[in-house]
Amino acid sequence: MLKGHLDAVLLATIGDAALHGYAIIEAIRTRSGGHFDLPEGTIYPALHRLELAGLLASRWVQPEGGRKRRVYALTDKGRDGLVERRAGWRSFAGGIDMLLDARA
Amino acid sequence: MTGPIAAYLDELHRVLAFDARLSRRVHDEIESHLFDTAEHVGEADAVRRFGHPAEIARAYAEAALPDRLRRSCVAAAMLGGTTLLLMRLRTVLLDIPGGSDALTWLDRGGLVAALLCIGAAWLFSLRQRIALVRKALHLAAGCLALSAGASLLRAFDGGSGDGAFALIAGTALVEAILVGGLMMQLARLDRYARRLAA
Repeated sequence: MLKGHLDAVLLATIGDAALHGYAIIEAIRTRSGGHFDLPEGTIYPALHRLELAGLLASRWVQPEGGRKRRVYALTDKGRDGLVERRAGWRSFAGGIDMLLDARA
Repeated sequence: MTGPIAAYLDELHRVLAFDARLSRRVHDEIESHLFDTAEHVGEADAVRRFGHPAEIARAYAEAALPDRLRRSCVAAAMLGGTTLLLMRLRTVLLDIPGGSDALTWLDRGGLVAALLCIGAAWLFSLRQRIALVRKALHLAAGCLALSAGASLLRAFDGGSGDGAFALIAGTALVEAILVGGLMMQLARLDRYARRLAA
């Protein structure tokens, strides 16, 4: 089920920050209260796809004495995409809530 | 470097060989991730948690496919547009007479057929029908080569004016380079298709 919303999850997790893949996976795990422990290998191709679609931009950073990492940040198109996906999700979730809460 | 991470990265490099540039990018990024993870769980578990290299390569191929299809279509469209432009340039500058002979028919008919194929490839690319895109673009490349060849023969036969040979040779060179570029794009697309089919 999460797979269909992976793009939204990634865009929302990155938000206004610039994060590398490992940090994104950790953030998803932490912020979801451990509900979403995604297979790590699935995240990087998804990040690459979002970058090719112009929703993310990436660059290499290497802190002094640290490991070189590729960090991702939202582009303007990515921010617009996140707004759209949030609205889509709220509408979808609202509809499901109404169906589940409805009494016959 | 030896150990599970090194072996994993070697295997990943092997299965990502369908796109050398992508393979280099992925290698550095995933190496960094695996060593971050290994600090907490050890190399063997870091590799296990990441997933099988063949699955990762397939996921990358799927992720990059829309962009790869778009690039191939853009390369074909550039080639089609340039062929049209150079054909017109030769006709005007060399004062090539029009006619209804076989060469003229091949020249114009080949170009029209190629442009139709490129349009079809573009439509197929929107639906990610990779096999149909490949067929349409291969056909377009063949039609463009036919059209360009006929156009060049017409220029040699009927062209006149100063520097005619230089103009014909120059435009032929540009067309040959663009055809080469398109064939490279198609070869890369073929490698993607093989990876996705594996």
